[in-house]
Amino acid sequence: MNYLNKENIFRTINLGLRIYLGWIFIYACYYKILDPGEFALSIASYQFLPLILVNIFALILAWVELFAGLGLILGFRPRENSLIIIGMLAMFIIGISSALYRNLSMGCGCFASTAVGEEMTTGTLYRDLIWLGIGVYLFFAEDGFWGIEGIFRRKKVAG
Amino acid sequence: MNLRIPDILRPANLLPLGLKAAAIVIMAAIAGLLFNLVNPRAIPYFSSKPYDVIVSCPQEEKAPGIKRITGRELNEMRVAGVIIVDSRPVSEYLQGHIPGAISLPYDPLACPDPKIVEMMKGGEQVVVVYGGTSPDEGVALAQLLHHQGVPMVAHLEGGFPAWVQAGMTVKKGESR
Repeated sequence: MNYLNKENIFRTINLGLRIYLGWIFIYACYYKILDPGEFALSIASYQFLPLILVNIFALILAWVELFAGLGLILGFRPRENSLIIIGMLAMFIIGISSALYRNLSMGCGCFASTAVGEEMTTGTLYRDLIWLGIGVYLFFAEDGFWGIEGIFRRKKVAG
Repeated sequence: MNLRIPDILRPANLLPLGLKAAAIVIMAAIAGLLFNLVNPRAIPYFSSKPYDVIVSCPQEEKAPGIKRITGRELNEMRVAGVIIVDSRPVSEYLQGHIPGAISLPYDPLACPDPKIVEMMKGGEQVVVVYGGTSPDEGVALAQLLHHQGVPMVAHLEGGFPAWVQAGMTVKKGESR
């Protein structure tokens, strides 16, 4: 049996991209879940949301990142999770573009708090655009064959 | 592999996909809101703090970087005399801290107590800041103290958990 066919090569690439993108989101949510106050401050520094929504948004967003990242890595609803990640990245890109346009001197709050995190630059924006590209690719190309969903699908067919 | 773009983007396919994605978001939101009930660093669900009028604490110089030290190094430094600062919330400090440490919880919305900062600025001892499980905690306060003119500031790598893991002495309750 030839495993090195075109389909398997694509699935391997997709799996690699799923793990890469999923891991980024899990890594990013770590500090946000542990220290929601600092993350709320990072969100507030974008001056984008009404004050009253900042905390609840911080509490929810970190967990959405965790669920989407885990789902993508495990191959559970990969398209749905890609869609969520596309949505989040689109939101981050708008936020970063707006902050850069307004010359706000701040960290992006992507992986650590504004106080100690990386300085926001156009590089941050390009990086998010690349991740958005990967998310869009996975949304269209990923069928979850190598993942929880694929396993259940194959068992169902075999049964 | 076929890129079935038209199929996915057809409303009949896109709508259920969007609903399932929304269900995942709702589950994540519920998990996040429930976790906040048990998180020691819980925040109010709705805040009225004026985040948008944050004024930076006064800064004297640009910090060139904070030296990172290990628990073993700190233990050796304690003999020569060192100011140890615990940046965690007071509740965590009371549960256990490095003997002799001062509790100075890091609050991103407030400047540290000026009296304590002045005391640190005047002394010739190294100030070692440590945090808890959060990767940022401790580093942020160390940078802030250094920016405020405290000359010799170091950060304990791994924070309090690393200190405990190394089997060093821990004191409970009030220290100073």
